[in-house]
Amino acid sequence: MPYLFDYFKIFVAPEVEDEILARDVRFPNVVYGYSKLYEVFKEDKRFQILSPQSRLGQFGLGEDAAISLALERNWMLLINDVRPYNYARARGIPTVSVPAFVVLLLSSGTIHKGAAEAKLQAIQYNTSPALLDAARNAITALTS
Amino acid sequence: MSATSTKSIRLTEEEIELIRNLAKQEYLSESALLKKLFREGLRNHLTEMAVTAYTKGMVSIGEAAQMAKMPYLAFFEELRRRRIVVLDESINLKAELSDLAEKFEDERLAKVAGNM
Repeated sequence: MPYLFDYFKIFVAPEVEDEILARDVRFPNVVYGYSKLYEVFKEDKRFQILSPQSRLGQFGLGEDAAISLALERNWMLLINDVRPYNYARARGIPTVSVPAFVVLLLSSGTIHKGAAEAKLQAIQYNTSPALLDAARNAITALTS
Repeated sequence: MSATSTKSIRLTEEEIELIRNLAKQEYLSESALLKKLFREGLRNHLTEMAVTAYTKGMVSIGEAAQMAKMPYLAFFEELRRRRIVVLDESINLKAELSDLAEKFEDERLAKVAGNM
């Protein structure tokens, strides 16, 4: 996540922020790692909050706001969920998911091969083997 | 606090005995225990429904989280814990890499994307 700011100017829709910071009523004292990281970056003014002018009315509130914002501004959309991802792609929005960003980090020399492989390893249980293989092949092609 | 109303359900003698004993063990009134068990069961049921809807491709993570009455990140953690795929082979890695190569003028990346 911290690498994102080196490559992109990040804008976050308010609905996305609400979702990142929401506490679970079952465990009100639990603060998720992503929430904490988000608070740190927010304090550091690493991104801006921006609302879309209108909403498409698709998916969850945060997904809808993020896709609407990217569509209105012709921006890239960072997303890691296949349904809204494919919807956004079909609407012509350039999307970026974690595997592609990892390959970019390697290609630009920000991380080395071992780190790229470790990052793919970290998402292996929630990413299809075929997609991971494709990303690993790209890593091999970049390093051979 | 939302207004409450009473619902009655019929239980077997065995179930009533079990509730009585559990309530004693947990130092709760029987009604407090029943409410606790009902809430846990309802949460689990909603979570299972949402996970099933997600794995069947019917909803996004955000929608599934809303179904489960859970925060987005909590539901995402649930998917991670269950090792449910959120990025499948329909993700267009080649197109993503091409877009990134163009944006960052990365010729090496463009070549790799072109060969995929």
